[in-house]
Amino acid sequence: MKSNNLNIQTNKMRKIAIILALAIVPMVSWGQNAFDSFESEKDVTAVVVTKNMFKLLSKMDLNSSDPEAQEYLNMVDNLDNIKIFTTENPTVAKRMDAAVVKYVSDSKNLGELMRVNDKGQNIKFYSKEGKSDNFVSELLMHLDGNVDGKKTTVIMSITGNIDLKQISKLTSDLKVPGSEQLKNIDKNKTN
Amino acid sequence: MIMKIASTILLFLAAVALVSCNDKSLQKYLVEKQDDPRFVKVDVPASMLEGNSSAFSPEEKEILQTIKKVNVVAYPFKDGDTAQFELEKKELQSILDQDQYKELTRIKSNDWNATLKYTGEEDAIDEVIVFASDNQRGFAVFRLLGENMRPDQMIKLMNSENKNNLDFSQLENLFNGFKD
Repeated sequence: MKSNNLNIQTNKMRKIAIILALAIVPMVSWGQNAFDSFESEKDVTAVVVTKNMFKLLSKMDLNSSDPEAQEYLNMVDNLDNIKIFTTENPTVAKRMDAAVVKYVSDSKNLGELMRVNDKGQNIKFYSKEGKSDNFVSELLMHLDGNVDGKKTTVIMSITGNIDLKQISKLTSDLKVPGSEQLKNIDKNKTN
Repeated sequence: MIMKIASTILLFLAAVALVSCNDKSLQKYLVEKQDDPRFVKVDVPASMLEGNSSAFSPEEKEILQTIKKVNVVAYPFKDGDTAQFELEKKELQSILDQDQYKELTRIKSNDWNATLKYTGEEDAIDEVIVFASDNQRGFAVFRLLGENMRPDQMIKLMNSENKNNLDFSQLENLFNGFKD
């Protein structure tokens, strides 16, 4: 009788543990990004593209016979999300710069990938090792400088299984400043 | 003791779940606002989108048949109406925050923002929703309703020569009215 009671208790505990785990998982995966807070700020333009979008896009094999299009869709299918924050407000820009510096120093596996100083733009790329040489699991771009004649600061964060050879095509499609430089990124990396 | 803590947490979680689980659909919300004079509404059945239906190929007709209707509801902003505006906007937002509305992308600028969402599956979409809000003009929900719409086919239709035969004039009228 007593052991039976104990059994029910442990069973209950187990259930509670599972419910707790289920409740906590989404909380943990939320708000991971160090730059999310900029989305709600005034004078910040934000673009967020979610995994749902990438899944949907990858279903559109527009020209399935074209191997290049296939590679592109394959790259898109492996992305988790893209977040782009842009500001022309110097105060916000300063805080963005600080957020990047803090994020880079806080994240152990994030290393500088490339640095470009060109045409009044100072662009830095950071990345996190991925499954193989040309793949990274996170790509962070930080741009300070002149975009369309205005002093602008841009943070772009991409997560997922990112194919460095392909990613510049997507960012060009999204018209992200700095995409030009991104085209050379896999060359720079292998050097 | 542990049981007590656990049950307290459980109770709390249940309460949170209950509060966040207002399973009101967008459909229900829009029906509710049907007779609300503050809202501007346009319903365009798919049959009216096919301006000149004879021009479409059988394949295109099949794609068109997955579209049921286009539905636009707008709340034009009026001066001094901030409280009501915010209230309505919040309600709509909380409906669209539910999991069934899968977010594709969201864009925010200084005084406007827009969210693109859908319901259904990746290759069988039931509803495409654009929720846009502008601090000066108001907010609007644009909804494309269908049954098992396939994104690749939609793109095909939009790229086809016959896209000019799609008649969006009713929607254009609404947007023009909204701009003023």
